[in-house]
Amino acid sequence: MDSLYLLIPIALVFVIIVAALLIWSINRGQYDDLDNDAWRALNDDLTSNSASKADNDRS
Amino acid sequence: MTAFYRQRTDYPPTADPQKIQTADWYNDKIWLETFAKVDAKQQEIPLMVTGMSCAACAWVIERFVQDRAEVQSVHIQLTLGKVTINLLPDSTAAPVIEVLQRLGYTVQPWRVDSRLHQMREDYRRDLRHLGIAFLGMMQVGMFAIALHAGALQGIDADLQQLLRLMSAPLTLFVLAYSGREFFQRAWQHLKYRTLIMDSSVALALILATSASLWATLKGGGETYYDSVTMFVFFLLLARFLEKRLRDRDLIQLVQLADELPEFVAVLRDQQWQRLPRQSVQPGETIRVATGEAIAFDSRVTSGTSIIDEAVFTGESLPRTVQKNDVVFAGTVNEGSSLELTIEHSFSESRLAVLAQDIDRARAEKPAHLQIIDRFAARFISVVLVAAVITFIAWWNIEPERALWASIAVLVVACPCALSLATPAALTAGNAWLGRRGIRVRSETGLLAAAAADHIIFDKTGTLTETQLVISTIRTAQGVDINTAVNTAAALQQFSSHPAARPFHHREHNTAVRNVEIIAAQGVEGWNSERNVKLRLGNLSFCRQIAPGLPDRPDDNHYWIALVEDGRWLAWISLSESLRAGTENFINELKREALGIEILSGDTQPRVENIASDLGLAFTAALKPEEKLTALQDRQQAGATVMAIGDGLNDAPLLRAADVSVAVAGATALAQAQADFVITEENTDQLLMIRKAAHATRRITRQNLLWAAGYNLVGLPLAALGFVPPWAAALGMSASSLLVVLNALRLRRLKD
Repeated sequence: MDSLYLLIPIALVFVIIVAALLIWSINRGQYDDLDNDAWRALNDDLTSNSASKADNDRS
Repeated sequence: MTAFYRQRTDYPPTADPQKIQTADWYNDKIWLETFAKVDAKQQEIPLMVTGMSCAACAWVIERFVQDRAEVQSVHIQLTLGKVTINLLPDSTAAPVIEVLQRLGYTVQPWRVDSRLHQMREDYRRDLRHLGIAFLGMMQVGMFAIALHAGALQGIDADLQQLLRLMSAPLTLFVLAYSGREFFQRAWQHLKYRTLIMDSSVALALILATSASLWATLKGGGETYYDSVTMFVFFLLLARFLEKRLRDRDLIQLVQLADELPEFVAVLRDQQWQRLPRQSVQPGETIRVATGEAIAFDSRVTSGTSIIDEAVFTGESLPRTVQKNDVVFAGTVNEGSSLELTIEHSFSESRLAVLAQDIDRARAEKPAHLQIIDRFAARFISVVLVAAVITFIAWWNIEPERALWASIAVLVVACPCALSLATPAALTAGNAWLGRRGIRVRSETGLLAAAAADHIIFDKTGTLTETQLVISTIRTAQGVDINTAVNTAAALQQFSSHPAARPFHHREHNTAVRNVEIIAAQGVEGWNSERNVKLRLGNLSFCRQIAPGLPDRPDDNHYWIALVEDGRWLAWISLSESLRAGTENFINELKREALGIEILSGDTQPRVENIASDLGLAFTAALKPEEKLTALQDRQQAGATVMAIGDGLNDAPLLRAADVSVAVAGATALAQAQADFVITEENTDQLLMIRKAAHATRRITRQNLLWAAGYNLVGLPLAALGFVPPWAAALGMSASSLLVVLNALRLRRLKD
């Protein structure tokens, strides 16, 4: 049972890490388009489009 | 929304200078005039106000701003987050801006671009708040399960304390990060002595959290950390989904103005120049080429052409115009090129005025939610009084139980279930419709749709296909029907006139050569087999070469004549056909014992054709105003009216109706006006709306009943001290959860 005294605070650390990652990815715009990304994998025409978007992000 | 984010991934990285203005900026007249309209009679200042989350906010703003002496009028568009204030000339806007800022809203000048930018920022912020609330809820919930299990099975006091110590900072962080908006808004409204939904939410959150912190500090009593985080998450989720619906609406309105050409050909210094639309003034002459949209309300100075006015009328047939006729912005020139003199600036055009009307109407709608908000405000004051009475009563009987009993009252009677009951059901119902291809444009439309007992159709386009079809053909003696149609098809093949479209998929008579389109009259060609001139078009045009052409067979249809030199060949009639499935669904609606009628602007015989096929009551040849009066008559007679239309001339009708539906292919303005847009050419979807509406109403009632019943039972029990705090917390979470889960049952509704 003593291990719980270590494991419970570790759970808290994990939550903090996940929260930080979530905020980071939202700020990077990864969730800006929730409806479209699911379809993009199926749509061949959009590949060039997403490539140019990646270019924009880098610039 | 999605298209918008795809196109607009990049913004200038520079800091937005508009973020840093204070109210003083609005004293600067030159800066003000970059976005406001200032003249001798008034100053109209459009503002973008962030933070208006509910109808109550609009009401509060109106009240505080309208009271000021320099304010002539205030106009709030909740959907757009836009507040337009109209000030007396020579007064300054700064004090008004200060009032808004003190109420806790961020104020910026209204510019379309900055609004779109703000929308994306808001979206990301909401998502961050939601995500953190979710993580917090899951983690605190996990600890809470251990605590609840421990309470039943026994747990080390040390371990219990540790779990509580871990939950406390998580909950505080969720409150400070995600729940901040509740507290801010509640506080700012409190300063002005108004209660809104957020006041009760904030109060419940503060009390439940303080009690939990107190218990943690003392190492005894109950904690409510799990209920607090769960409540924050569900409330944020409901608001997030509601907002996404509203944003979609905004994009549509912004795009509408984009459909007009950015550049127009203007005659200046004896030369045609292509200039930006904004720089062109009334009185100037512009040229509109074939297929182009007209950018201004103007008068024809030379040329004849046909104008597609479907955007206004929903009519499939275009109008012929010639010198001195008036044409409207937003309509499309389908014939030959025209020269026009501009009569009004764009902001005074019929299109802009209608768009404004529609804006205005949209802001006035959400009355249902307003009632719920006010009810919640009253509810919380009752609960507060109950808690105080409980405290005093217990203080006199058993002082050590007083605090816990009154906290139990507050927690049990938390308005969460009540405040989630309607939004949760509406969100689920709207999502159900969305998956079936129906766009939902107003959050509360479903509530009104359930109550509708009278349905008004606009015939053109709503019940009929927008495409005409060839219905009857009268040929002259000795002329073969097929030959006549094939010849007509060959003549019509190059024309984009709607009357030509039914011919496009027909076989062509290959002998027809030298086809020439003569605007507003018809088509001319040459039959190379028989070496004779051909004409197709209206009566006078064809009689010129074939004097023997008889009159039109009747006036009920749209007739076109086909003749060759000296001999008439055929009269071909075009008519509208019923949309697929129309009969079925009309019968279905009749079974529901609804009043159904057709109000149309078309001529009597044409409406009668359709109405008698369907067995419906009808009134024909109505002007838009008369349609509106007819609708208001029905409403005064006590009917809840659902209107279905597609043309811009239906916009007032759709606006005034209790609930409105625009049909696929409807004009953008009619769509912006409607509560629902049926996106497939399948009117069956009307039945789906009815079905979803009934189901949503049922769920909403169940939810409200449950929330009310729970409070009625829970409150007295808690006041009498029968409810231990852990049960109160469980009840609070469970009642909210049950409301949400009940709403989710809508997902499984069958078609």
